[in-house]
Amino acid sequence: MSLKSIVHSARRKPLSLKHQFRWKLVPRFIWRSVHSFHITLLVWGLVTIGCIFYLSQWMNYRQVAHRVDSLETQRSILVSKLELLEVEISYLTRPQRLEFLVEKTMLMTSPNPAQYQLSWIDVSSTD
Amino acid sequence: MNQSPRFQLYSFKTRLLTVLFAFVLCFVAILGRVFYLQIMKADYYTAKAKLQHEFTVTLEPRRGRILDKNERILAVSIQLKSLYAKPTQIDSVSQAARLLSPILDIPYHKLLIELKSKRNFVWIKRKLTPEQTKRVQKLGLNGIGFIEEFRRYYPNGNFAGQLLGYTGIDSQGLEGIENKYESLLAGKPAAYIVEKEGMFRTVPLSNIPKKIPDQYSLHLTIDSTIQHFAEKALREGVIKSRADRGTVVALNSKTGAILAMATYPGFDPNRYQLYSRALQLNRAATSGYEPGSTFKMITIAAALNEGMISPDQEFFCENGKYKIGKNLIHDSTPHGIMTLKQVLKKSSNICAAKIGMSMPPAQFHEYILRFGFGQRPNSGVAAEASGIVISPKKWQTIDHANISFGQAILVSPLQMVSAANVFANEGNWVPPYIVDHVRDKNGKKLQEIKDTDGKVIRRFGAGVRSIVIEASVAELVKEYLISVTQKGGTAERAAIKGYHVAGKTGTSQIYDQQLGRYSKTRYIASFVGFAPASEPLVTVLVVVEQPRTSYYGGSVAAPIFKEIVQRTLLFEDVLPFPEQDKVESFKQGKTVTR
Repeated sequence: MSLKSIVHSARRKPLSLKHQFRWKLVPRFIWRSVHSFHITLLVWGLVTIGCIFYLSQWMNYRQVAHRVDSLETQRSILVSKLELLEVEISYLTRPQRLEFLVEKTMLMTSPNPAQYQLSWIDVSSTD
Repeated sequence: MNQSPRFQLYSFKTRLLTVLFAFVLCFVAILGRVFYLQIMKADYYTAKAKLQHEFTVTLEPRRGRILDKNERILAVSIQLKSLYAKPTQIDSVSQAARLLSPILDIPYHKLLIELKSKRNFVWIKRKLTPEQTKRVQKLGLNGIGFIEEFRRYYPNGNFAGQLLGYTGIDSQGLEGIENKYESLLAGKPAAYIVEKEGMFRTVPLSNIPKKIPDQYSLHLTIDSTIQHFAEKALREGVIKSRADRGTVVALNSKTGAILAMATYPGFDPNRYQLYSRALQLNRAATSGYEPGSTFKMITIAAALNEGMISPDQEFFCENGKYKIGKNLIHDSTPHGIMTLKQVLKKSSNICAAKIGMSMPPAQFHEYILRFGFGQRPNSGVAAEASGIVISPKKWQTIDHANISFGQAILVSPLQMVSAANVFANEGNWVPPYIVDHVRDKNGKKLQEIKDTDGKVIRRFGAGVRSIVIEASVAELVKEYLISVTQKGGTAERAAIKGYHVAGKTGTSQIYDQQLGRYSKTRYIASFVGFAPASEPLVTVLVVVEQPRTSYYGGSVAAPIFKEIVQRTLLFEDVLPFPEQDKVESFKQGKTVTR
């Protein structure tokens, strides 16, 4: 049985429009296909290639997933470190501390409205 | 041996069949065993295999952060290690206890008892500092391990402690904002399954949750700098007046955003166990006090709005003593005939009582409610008090008079500052609020949170304003309030050079439960006001409880108000008035870029 005859048997013109696809021919098509050495070889060849391809993809996926997992772990460690730094910045720049440092080390005092009144004309002209 | 071919054939067939039968039997036996293992005991062996190469990684939720309006961290969860022991696996219990005791700061004998325990797992110390962790790791002891946990940390110490509240050992919100927004801040643990391979490689089998599942972060309206101004001025004021405690609330006049909320003495949420319960209360929202004379502005505004009095009307203040039934009302200094402006400027109780009594109780009560008293402000601050406003049906004449000048009514500082803010907003009551917005795990800004059905369950940011009095009345009362801080007013010490300040002092006696009457020695001094009066930026209330140097709001609370507002205005670039002779037409409140 040749491939041509198998395809032909499957493509036989339907008797009526109601039965365009003839389901009852499907088992016969498979049976006849199996009887053909070339077709069997082709089918199993394709199945084997598919399996190898799937296996390689599966292995690749597992490798990537592992990498993602380890990267996520690294990332969370870095995020924790970053957050700790943010907390430190927040602690070091708290207004109480800044005011204390400004008053004690730079000998500066809190602003007073009087300071602004002296230079009012200059300030308003730049606005 | 001669055997017939037939025999040979049968014999071969028999042998073949025997071997075949044996094979089939073996095959059936194997098939049966396979069926038993694969089908009958499938669940058991699947579970057993999973136990060997699969395990679940649980990600503990990181509690959401609390930030101020400038994204400054107020509360954050940091990852720390907790130390545990498996006593049966420790080589030498006494040696381990001796080595660990100085590092962990736990007495040796106490540690020894724990390590000698027959239990499989024992916590030694939870949430170690990074330094302690490093030192314990260096020891390399067997049977000792770490588990990562989160610890809540408040970088600013006792800064806004009562407002923020604190969390317990298992990171559950116990007080303040931490407790109020527990459902948003706390999260649910996330987990994913991991397969262990022969090369000690781990491969996740389910989707990895996006890092550690952070929850919503709360962005408050608090400005750390203004909060600092408030806390510092309050601390100095309370110490100077030798008062029991003090409270400050500062609002953004236009939006109602709470810029600062402080109570002194405060407490450090990082070490909340060391402080008494009384110190942990956020008195700005949870406690009630009798507002005293600060309430007169409400009385006058209500009467003006109802047309019961007119701005140019004059009142006789009975020369300092006025009898209502069996009760006598006093003024601190005797006054004769006064205008409405003078009533507020000099703070006459008698005239305020007369003005209040010019309105029917139900009508006056209606205005009290409209100004936000007797109900929770729903600002988002935890444990808000609704205060106590007696039903007008139960008012006696003396109650009516007392309420007119701020006695016989209990309000929270937050309610009082919101009520005073009506005069800074052309007669509109602006609801105060503490949470500006929240951000989800992906940093997306949210003004409201919906449930699964799309129904809004929480809304953040500014609320809906309500009209309380007419704008013209609010403007008129504002003028009177400005006069209070000017020469001859009760709050000259609240005046700031270069700014118009509107405000009102309050001095109320504390009701003594034991004596059953108002105390003659214990007072609450307060001041509420806003500035600049022409274009209000900040509305501040200062309440000082039981001051001992002087008990007048004008001398105890007003200077604290001045200190806070002066620094806030300069910080916000609201420049003071120029000299009158230098610039003629100048609208105050204009800001410049620094």
